[in-house]
Amino acid sequence: MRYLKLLLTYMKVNLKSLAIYDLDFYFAIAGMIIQNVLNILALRFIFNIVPQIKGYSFEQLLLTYALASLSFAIFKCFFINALNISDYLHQGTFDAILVKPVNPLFQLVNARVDEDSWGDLLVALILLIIVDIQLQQPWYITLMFMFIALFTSLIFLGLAILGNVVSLLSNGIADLAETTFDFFEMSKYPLAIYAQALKIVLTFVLPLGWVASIPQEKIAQKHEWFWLAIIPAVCVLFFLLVYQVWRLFLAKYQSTGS
Amino acid sequence: MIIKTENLTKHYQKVTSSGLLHKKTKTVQAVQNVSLQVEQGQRVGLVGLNGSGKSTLIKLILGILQPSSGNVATFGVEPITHRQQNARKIGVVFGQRSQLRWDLPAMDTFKLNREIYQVAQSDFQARLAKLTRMLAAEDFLTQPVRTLSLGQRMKAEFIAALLHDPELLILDEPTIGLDTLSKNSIVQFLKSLTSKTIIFTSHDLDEVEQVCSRIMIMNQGHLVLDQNSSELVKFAVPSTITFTSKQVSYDELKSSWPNVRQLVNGDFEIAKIKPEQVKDILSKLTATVPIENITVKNNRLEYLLAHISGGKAHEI
Amino acid sequence: MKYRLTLTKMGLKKGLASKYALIFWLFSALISFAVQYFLWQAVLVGRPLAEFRQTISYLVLMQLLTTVFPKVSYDLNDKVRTGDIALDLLKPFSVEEQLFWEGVGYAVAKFALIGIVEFIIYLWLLNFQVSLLTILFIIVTAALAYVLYFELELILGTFSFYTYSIWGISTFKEAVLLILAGNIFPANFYPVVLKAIASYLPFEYSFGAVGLLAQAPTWQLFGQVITIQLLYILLFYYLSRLLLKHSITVTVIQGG
Repeated sequence: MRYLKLLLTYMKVNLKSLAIYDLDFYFAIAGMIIQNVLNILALRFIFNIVPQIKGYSFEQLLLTYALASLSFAIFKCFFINALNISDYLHQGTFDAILVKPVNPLFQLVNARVDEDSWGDLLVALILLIIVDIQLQQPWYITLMFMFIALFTSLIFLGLAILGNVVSLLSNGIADLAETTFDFFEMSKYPLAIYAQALKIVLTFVLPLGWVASIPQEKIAQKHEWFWLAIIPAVCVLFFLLVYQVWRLFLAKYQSTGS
Repeated sequence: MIIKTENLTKHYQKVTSSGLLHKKTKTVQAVQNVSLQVEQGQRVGLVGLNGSGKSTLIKLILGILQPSSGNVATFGVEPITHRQQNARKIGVVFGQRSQLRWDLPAMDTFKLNREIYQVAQSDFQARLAKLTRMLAAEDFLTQPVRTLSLGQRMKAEFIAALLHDPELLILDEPTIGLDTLSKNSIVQFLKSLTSKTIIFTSHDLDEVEQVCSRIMIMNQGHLVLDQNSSELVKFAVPSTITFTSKQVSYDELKSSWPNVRQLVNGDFEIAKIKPEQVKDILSKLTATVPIENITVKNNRLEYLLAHISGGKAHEI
Repeated sequence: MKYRLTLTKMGLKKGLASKYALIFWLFSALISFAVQYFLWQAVLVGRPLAEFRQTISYLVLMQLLTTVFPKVSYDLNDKVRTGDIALDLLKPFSVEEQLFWEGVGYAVAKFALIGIVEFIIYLWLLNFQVSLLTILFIIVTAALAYVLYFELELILGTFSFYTYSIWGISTFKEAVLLILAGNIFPANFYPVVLKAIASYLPFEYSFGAVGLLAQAPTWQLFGQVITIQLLYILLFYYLSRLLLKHSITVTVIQGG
């Protein structure tokens, strides 16, 4: 309850800092929208060459893309600052966070948001709705996907934290935070296109398959509703595992820092 | 008792050079066997040169770092596991890192802190009004922090650290980089905070003495001195007078001032002047030599460091 | 000349000093390579293997160029924001020349640490059956593409004088590159109209043209590509100088 109230305050403050737009902001929004459109066009070009990819039609592949984009856009809108954890530690600003009576990870994630991502979120939502209509999915499936995306964004949050922890433990040798963006690329396509070994990795190790491919298969194609519980559970579980790693890291930081 | 440490020790590994595969590290003894107690309401000045271990000691007290050995209790409890609980009773100002949101007015950080520390609205308003008045900060709290001068920003940092009315105020080099005017107003402000326990670290002994009744000096990780500032003030530290005079030569001066030395930049220097002689020498000097510029200074901290034994400063 | 060499060495050292960051750049390049590989394998299933190899090798080559090419707009943006640009303006060399030669050194480091791996992957995809002439064509057009891209980035960087950050503009640039330069999607799969438009715009000549030439290494295409590259380089050389000069004189340096 307390954290909910705090979250609202953070949002209020963050929104205020967004109000300082300049020309660059509009370029960013335009750029993001164009990028999305172009990605879709590129996909369309592929289907000029072949009628289907591993049994997936253009619209179906677009649905995978839309689901992944929605999940990643939620991550970018609300959790993007998780990418900067190592900066806070290097600059020493992390100490100022540790002396406050609120969970440090919560503070870190909320300390900044990315104003440019609202365009992404909007595009992803519109795309999802259009694709669902094209595929003649009932409206409640679209709602289910939105519900699931709230959880699957935790996978990206988890990966971002994990990347930062690896980066910090290796003293910046392995700067893996930015890899989150590459992981997003991986999540945009159905698991079916990947080799068997990679499929297993993407299901059980780096749970990127759960972002779009698995929800699409289980819910849009097979209508197996119990996955509505399993998918969020997997996301939360993954995040909790990462959170334990983060706690271990924090303990190490406290014993070896200066 | 607010803080108690027993044989508190902290070392860490520092990377000195790194190759592709292996790294060379060296162990830094940041804090060594520090035992101290701070009672409620005390104002403690923690002084030392850069790298003396002040900041590490502060972090151990705050529960940011885990001791290598020894004990520390803050508000009677182990600070690491009780970090968030203790944080409600502590206000911290780090001179070199800001808790204010860069792109927003300080007021927004205050409001955020109000939620973080769960301060009642009426208390918040009353304290804000009082602190703003004390620091003469009315004008700039609604401007984005990035547009503030360093002095204004530090004032805002102080307000942010005090809005939850902490029992313990920890100041880690809060005056670093400030001009004399801003420094003075911060010092005056701190003097007026009579009811709080304060730990004030700095490398400037004089400044700390104006605020604190008790002075601790750290050197290479050891707590080498722990003394009342009223006693410490009595400790005589020799001064050095430096002056510029284009109209007299070194040889002319030398005849009447045998202790004078010429510096590479052409200035003259008289060193190791006992405190009681300073006034005499100054007046004599200004009366007899045409002087363009003159300064008197004493490096008390460095001098004290050389004359400390058994936790007290001693005359040799 | 000696000053240029010193700058180049500085850039090289900077690159080697951040070797770990660069190695993980490679890691991320490999992830994106894997995605492309499987995607195109799935797309071109049932087609001749040669077509798949052509396509994926094209994408690797584009990846290589993206890796090595300079990010001058960010450098310039940093300099403007910190006010360091004031120091650079005092030096007896123009800012763009300082940026260029330092960038060259950095690019060499990037090639040595990451690019070489991508290049080997590229050759491996073609069964190491690439003629010397093709490699020569690639080197020459890639070098010209580098210069052209540097100028485009420089022009982009001048926006730093007018807005607080150029992050949005960079996103915009990447969007343009995405389609018009052909560095993410093979340009020969474009619909005819788009292909025609792209072939007149400068962007393709800093990326896609190199790849197209590698696929069809004829003297005629080579001549065509370098002519257009040179024309654009010349045009942008004057344009970027003009813009930079204008920006510097018109605006107050932030924080300087």
